[in-house]
Amino acid sequence: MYEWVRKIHLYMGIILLTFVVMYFVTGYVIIHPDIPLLKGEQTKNTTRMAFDLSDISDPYELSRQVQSKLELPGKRATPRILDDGRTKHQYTRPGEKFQVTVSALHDSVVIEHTQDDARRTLIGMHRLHKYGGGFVYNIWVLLLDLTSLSMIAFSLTGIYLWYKTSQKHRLGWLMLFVGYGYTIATVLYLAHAP
Amino acid sequence: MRNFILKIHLYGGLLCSPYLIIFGLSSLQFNHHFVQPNDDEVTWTHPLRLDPTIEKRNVGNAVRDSLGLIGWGPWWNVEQDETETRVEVVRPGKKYQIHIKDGLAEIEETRLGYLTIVNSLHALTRVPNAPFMSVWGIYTEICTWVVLFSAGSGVYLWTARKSERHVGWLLICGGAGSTLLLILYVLVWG
Repeated sequence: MYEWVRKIHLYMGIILLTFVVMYFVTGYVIIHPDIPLLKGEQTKNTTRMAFDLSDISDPYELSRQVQSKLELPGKRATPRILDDGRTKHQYTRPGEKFQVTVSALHDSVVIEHTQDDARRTLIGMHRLHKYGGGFVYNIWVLLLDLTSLSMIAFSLTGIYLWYKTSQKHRLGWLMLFVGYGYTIATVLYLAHAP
Repeated sequence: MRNFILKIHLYGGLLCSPYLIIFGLSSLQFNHHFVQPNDDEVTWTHPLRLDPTIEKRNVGNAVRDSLGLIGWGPWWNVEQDETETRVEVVRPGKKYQIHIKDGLAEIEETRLGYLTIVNSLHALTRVPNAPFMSVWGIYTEICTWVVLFSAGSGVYLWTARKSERHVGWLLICGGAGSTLLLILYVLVWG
């Protein structure tokens, strides 16, 4: 049992090491938005062009065709249908966003392109969630799922390994008590404070 | 040296164990949305007269302070007309819809449930008007560094073992290589 748990802790760590580090470094940028080296300008530009996809009515298929025809990179978001019949399609990847508005007759498009600075690019990497939007993005989200499961597994296997390998448990129990005690107190505070 | 690093890896990990579980659960929630917030509503009233000189931008936070609430009062959710002011105050675990009319505030309090609170603790650094929650910001900071340290120290501690060297290097190179390629692909061609 001990050997299995140790192997799970070790191999999961070394396989997912880079993704875990990426996820925590990009998360650090979110909680410290004022890191000066990463701050820069966000640039936006808008292009209008004629277009013809009048034979497609399904908004999801339209979203795929727009991306393919305009050769836009990024993860496809769920298309939005506006009251006047236009549809909005969004394609994002870390550092870049394209918002395409297709006219009601599907004969013209307005493309808004946003280029992010380094800070927003890193935040974009951290916030790439949910399946769908392309094969590569599904692999990314799968890795994020594995990393999430590994966090839970690191925590539980770590406690087991500590308990089995340490002869003195007092400091370990204290750390667990402080960590879990404070977390439970915080959850209760947020549930019951005004 | 090895012993010292092992101790930090071990005890830092134990201290941050609940945070890792929160990180894991909340990240899974971001992808799958398997927990829906509760909508337990409670309505209560409180006498409240708004200072008419307060700018619209500050009305949400002023109402929050007057009612002794914690959280954010976003200006974009403030609606005012001649007779009534509507404000929303939000925070992990609860949200409040507040209607102020004739010197009385009617507060619809929605309790979102424990699981929603757990999800919102992911990288939370502060909650306005709640000094207790600033400690969570420190805990977030500590746990971020502990995870980054543990990633490095875990590799260091593993290299000190003679067994499992080959398979370990194979996995570490395969894992790191493919992850870096994926990141590069998404950033450049994605």
